[in-house]
Order: sequence, then structure tokens, then C-alpha cells
Amino acid sequence: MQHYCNNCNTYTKQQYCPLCKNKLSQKSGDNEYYPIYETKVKRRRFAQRLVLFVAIFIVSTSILINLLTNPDKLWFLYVLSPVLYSLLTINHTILSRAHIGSKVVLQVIALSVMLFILDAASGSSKWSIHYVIPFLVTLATLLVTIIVLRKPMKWREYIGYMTTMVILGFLPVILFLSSWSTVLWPSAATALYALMTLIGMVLFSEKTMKNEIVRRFHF
Amino acid sequence: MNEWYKLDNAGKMFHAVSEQTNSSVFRMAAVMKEPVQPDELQHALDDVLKRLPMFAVKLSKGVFWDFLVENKEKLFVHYENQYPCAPIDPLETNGFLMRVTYYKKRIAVEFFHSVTDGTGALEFIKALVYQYLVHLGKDVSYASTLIDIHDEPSYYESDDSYQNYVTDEKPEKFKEAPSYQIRGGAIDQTVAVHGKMSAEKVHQLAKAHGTTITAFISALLIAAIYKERLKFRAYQEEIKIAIPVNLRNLFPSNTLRNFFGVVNIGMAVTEKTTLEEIITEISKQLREKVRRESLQQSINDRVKWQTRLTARFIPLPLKYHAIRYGYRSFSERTKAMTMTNVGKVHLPESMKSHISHMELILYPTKKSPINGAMIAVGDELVITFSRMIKEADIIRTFFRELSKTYNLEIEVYSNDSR
Repeated sequence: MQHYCNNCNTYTKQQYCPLCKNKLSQKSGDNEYYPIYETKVKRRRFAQRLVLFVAIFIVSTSILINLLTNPDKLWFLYVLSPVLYSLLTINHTILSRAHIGSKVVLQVIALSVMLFILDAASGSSKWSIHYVIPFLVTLATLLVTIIVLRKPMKWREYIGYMTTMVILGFLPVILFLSSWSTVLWPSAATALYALMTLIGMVLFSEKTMKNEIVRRFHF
Repeated sequence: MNEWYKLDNAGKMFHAVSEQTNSSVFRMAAVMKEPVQPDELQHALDDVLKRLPMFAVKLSKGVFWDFLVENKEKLFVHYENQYPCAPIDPLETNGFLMRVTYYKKRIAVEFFHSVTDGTGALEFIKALVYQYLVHLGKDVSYASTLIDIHDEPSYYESDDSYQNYVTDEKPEKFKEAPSYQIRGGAIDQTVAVHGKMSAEKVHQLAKAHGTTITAFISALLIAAIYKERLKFRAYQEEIKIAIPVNLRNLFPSNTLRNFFGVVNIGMAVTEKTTLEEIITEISKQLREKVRRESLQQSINDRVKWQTRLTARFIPLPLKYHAIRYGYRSFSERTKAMTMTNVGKVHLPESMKSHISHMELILYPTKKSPINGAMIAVGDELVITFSRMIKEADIIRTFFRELSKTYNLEIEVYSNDSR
């Protein structure tokens, strides 16, 4: 039924005038034109916010205690890096709906950073950049390769992550060349593996691959 | 092989600037005379997407530019459960940059603006509604104003017409003066207020003032903004309305992707300015600005930032920051509001009898928190304002003036049911 709002000189079927909010009818009818929405304000999920809060709590507390009691030895670094790593693992790898490829790449980077900090904090024998990081990169590249081989229809989605992994694969060799790292063989093996992956990508994906590269790099 | 498309010039911009408070999603809807049947609508959608592959796309990331790729998933129609023009989350739409919803008698299509503009959306919804009526078994007959579903997709339909019409002419350097900007208390959903009236009567009114509907409505809006916001203050800024112009009328094109320009018209209003004066000034400005020569300038201007060699090879994240900065400080500052007029929709007679009226909703943004849009079918003209601020003062004054001064019968409805 149409109501007339004397205030606005307009007609409406709604109980209240949409313009001035005057009550025009006693009956609360159904809105003919719009549903009542389930208000879905997008916020981070409660679990994610809780994890973030706990992480901030642990880190700030340990920094405070460290500086108040024993500022000569910065042991809070041992706490900081695992906490940040767990934060990423829980909030991104487990709880988010991000692409699996991005989860793998971020895990590799976060693990490498964490191990490097732990290594540096514990007197820097450089075991992380010598051995662990190269093998980590190889393992992750292998993982992405397996995913792609298992879902060949989806290789297009993974090509960006695959390329990132191949680039990361050459990082240990660069570290060696810049004389940060002094043990060659793990870095060299990783670089070789990355190179093999790259050659494999080019050889086995044929023409569609070239097309994909054209798209990704169009300017 | 999956087809892919470069984003067109406007598409690149919308993709860069969209965020929660600037969804870059607009809605076009047809309100039918009978309740919508979802199953038939789904069949119609499946048919239409096959014919118009440039709409069945998802976004993919590139190094220098993102791009659109054919999407082979299925797009499902669904019951309307979100406010109009809500941001599109590709995880919820199977990657599609559009959604098709229904509520009682309404069929609504919402597009992310990178995919198409109002003209493209209109062709889409016309084809969709036609096909829906066919599936319902209604007696509708095909007419040439519709896209033929049995045709092959044409090359022209996915053209980037900005690129086709750009010339080497050096754009004139000129700085657009800033406009008054509407402010208000933010709310976290879009409130749409529709006013339905007789298209013929409004046309006669505009004609009596010697102008077009667009200029007439824009002038009334400027007067409403002045009355509600600028009357009691010393500094009288210019009040400008941004009006999107369909470039297909001046630069022949069959594209279903973005091809529009924007002209800003407006003036500083004082206590003594009469509505007649505003109407005269606005019509004059519109006539001057909607000409081939000045729109050519705007095409060149738009394409320039995209093709400049230095701009091309900057990695995407940096480029997006630059585009957002430009958008905020040049495009959004020079207008108080956008008012778009899709005009009168031409439908075959056999279809018209099934459609009550149509609606067009433009998304509001943080800096332009009230936007307007109008569309007419038959004698039903619907002017819609969408807002993301609490204050409804300008909208109220606009409709009140229209009904009181000109004695128009207006039916108002809204999704604000409080």
C-alpha cells in the first residue's frame, strides 16, 4: 500500500518515510524491494586476532624483562623469531584462505629468516646459510613441483610461485659469491636443482608456457 | 587455450583504486512484474555468458600490469544478501568480477568497473532478461536492439577503444579547480534511496527550461547541496558534479568494455543565485564540454599516463601507489558528487510489458560519499542516490524540491528499513 509523506511530498510503500524517517503507518510490513541484510562487516577472525595479541604480549614482555634484567645479552631474539614464525604459521598458513603457492613461498622465507636470526644470535657459526636454507629452498621447490604435477590443470596458477622459487634457488649461490657463505656444495646443488626445474618447465609445458609469460610480462 | 584481455585504461585505474570503502562495483537491475524464478535465471545466465565471454573473466597478476583471463568456472545466481555495490570478493564468486542476484521481483547485476561500464552492463542485463523471459516460455520476440545470443562473439566487442582513438595531439595543460566536498558520519554499508517518477514529465520540465534531463537534474542537485551545506558560511566554493559521458556516441565503437569520459560541471552559488541561473550555466557548460574536441583531449590525457615509457616498466605495486595518489588528489577532489545518466533504455515492446522499471546504483566513495544515477525504461524514470554517510539531508532536499516545486508524483523506496 502507498503512503503519502506530507513532510516530503512523496509516496512510499515503507512504514517509515525513507527520506525523513517519519512514521507513516502502524503496520510494519515487509519491504517489497530490499531484504534485511546479514551485516557482514569484514574483520579478521577472532582466532587470528587472539593469536596476534598473544604474540605481541609475549614479545613485548620478553623485551621488557630482557632489558630490565640483563641488557648485555639480548636473549629476547630467541623468543622473537620463533614467535613471529608461529604467528605467520598459524595466521597465514593454517587460518587464511590464501593460495597454497603463497603459503609455501612465505613459509620458506619465514623459516629462513627465523633460522638466520637464531643462528646469528647464537654466535653465528652460519649453519643456517651454509646448509639449512639451501636445502629448505630445494625442498620447497620440489613441493611446488609435486603440487603442479598432481594438478596439471592448475599449473598456470602456480607459475608465479614456481618462478619465485627458482629465483630463490639462486640466492644461496649469490650469498656464496658475496662471500657471506663459505661452503659451496649445498648452494651449488640448490642452484643446479633450480636450473633443472626451470629447464623442465620450459621443455615440458610447451607453447602455453610462452603465452603465459607474454601475459605476465605485458606492458 | 584460455583467452586473455589486457585491462583497458579505465579498468586499470578502477583495479588500482578499489578498496573496502571504494568498491568500484556498480549495480544495474530490472524489476520485473512477477517474482523472479532463480532456476530459469541461472539457465539464462549460462547462455548469456557463453555469448559474452569478455564478462566471464577473472583477474590474474602480472609483473607490469594485471590482466583478465577467461574464467571456466560457473557463476551462480544467488539470493540478494548483501547491500548494493558491496566489494566483490573473488573467493565468493568463483573468481568472477560480477554477481547476479535476485530478490522478489528484482534481477540485479553487479559489475566490478574494470570489466565494463554502464553501456556494457546495460547490454548484458538486456540480453539476460530477454533470455530469462525466453526460458520462462513468455512470448517475447527478438529485436535488433538486443545482442543476438546465437551469434559468435565479435572482435569489436572486446576492443580497447581508448587505444583506438588516442591521437598524438599534445594535451593542453590545465588545472581543474577543486570542488566543495560532501562530508558526513561514515556508516559501513551503502544506503540506496530510489525515487521513481514519470520520465515524460521530467522531460517536459527540462524542455520547458530549454535543457536536457541531465543538466536539469544536475542543476537541482547543485541547488540542493548549496541549500543544505554551503548556505551559512563565508567561503563559497564551487559545487561540481562529475558527469560520465558515453564516448561511443562521439567515437563510434561497439566495445562492451569501458569507454567513457567524465566531465565536471558546476559553479559557485550564492544567496542571490536563482535556480534558473544555475540551469542556464550548467546547460552551457555541458554543451561546451561534451564535444568531440574536448573529449579527445580527455582520451589523450587518460591514455598518456598509461603509455608513457617510464610508467610502463615500473613494477606494479609502485605503479598502484602512484595511481591511487593521482586518483585521490585529481579525480576525487574536483567533484562533490557523480551523477550518471544511462538514459532511456530501448527494449522490444514484447519485453517491456514484463518489466516494471529499472534501477542503476553507483557506488559511493570516501571522498564522494553520495553518488547519483538515473535510468529510464518506458515512462518510469528512477533516480537513485547511494550514500555511505548517515546524513540524508541533500537527498531529502533534492526529492522534496522536485516534488514540491514541480508538482511531480514521486515514489520513494530504500534499503534503509529503520
